[in-house]
Amino acid sequence: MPENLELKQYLAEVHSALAGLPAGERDEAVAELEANLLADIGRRGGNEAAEHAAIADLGSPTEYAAAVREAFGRESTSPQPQGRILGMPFEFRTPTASTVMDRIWNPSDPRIFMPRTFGIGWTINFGAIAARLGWIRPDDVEERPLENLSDAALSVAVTVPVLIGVAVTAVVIAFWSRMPETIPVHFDAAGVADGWGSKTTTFGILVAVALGAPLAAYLWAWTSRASRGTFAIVATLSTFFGVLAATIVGYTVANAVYGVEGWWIGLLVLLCVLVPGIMFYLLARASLKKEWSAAPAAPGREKESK
Amino acid sequence: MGEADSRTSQFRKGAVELAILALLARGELYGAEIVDRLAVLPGLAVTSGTVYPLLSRLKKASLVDSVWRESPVGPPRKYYRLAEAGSRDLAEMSSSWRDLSAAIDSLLEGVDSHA
Repeated sequence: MPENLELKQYLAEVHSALAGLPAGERDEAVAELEANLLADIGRRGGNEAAEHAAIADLGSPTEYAAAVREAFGRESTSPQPQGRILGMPFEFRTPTASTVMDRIWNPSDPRIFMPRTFGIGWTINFGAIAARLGWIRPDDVEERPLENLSDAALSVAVTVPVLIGVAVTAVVIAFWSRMPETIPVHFDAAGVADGWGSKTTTFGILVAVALGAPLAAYLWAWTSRASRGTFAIVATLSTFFGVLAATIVGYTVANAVYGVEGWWIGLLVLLCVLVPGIMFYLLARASLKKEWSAAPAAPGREKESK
Repeated sequence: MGEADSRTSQFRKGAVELAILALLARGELYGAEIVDRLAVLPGLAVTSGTVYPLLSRLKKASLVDSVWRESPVGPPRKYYRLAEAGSRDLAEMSSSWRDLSAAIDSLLEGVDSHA
């Protein structure tokens, strides 16, 4: 087996010539090139002459990098919505794991509110938040931060939204008979009810969001043989909707049964962002730590010794 | 390189992308195979240095996806195939291409001899 010295050198030069591209794109382009080159070298005989010939066909590393930049430059590096309606971005193209990642974990894009992966409105780019808080550097993060999660961490992550969903369902069942047929469904800024709706419909939707949605999402992830990272993302998103549903159910019950009112309901909404945000951060950190400890030192960079 | 040359290479690049999609519509291929199939068409003037970056782009845009397959010689190969979005794009692009090419052909008719 040849050592592929020329190949490694070439890849390293292309990589450095691609400086400035988002880290994920850059790594992916180099990995793609490596796969294609190795196959080409293999079919040409797998020796040094084959390596040399395959690389010579590519042109210089600078030329190759320029071709990659040009190819990628034709579409914006930061995700753009399919279109806008009343100023809100919308997107109805089928989401893929990579478009989901580009929007909810994209440290190289400074926007915190990104166009949704599917539907109308915005979604939160936790990568940008982490980068802004200085937890990570925008250019120093793998594109798939969650792929190296341990089984234990992933199981916990997957269980969280199910527990929330079960809790929401339990609360609804426990208070069902004590709630009137018509319940408050909208509150003003002071936390006073100003809109009412049917108990069955409202709680039906909330239970579907809190418990039905994560189960359906896991089923989808499982049948489409989703990666660890995708499972973790599904879990985080389900937690977001679960906490949201839990907040609404909790306040509605407190308001309808005990007459609780207060402006602090607004603060509870913060929870809906904070809880999944923290969860995502913990998962990403656990995964990156595992990856860093397993990774060999990158070319030109010494592995830090502890 | 003359200015006409560089303009030619500009529109050739868009065409190569369409050519890759059209090739993959007939079945999956690995990178070097794509280069080979296109290199025999002199009009396209491709090398691996133009095809691989376009493959990266098509993959990033989810128009193609890839799978690893064992190879009879050497390391496993990354095979590319048309993704669903790629088939849709190919259908759209090929009909626009035909319209465009018919339009330009009709405009170019007789131009060479008058030049």
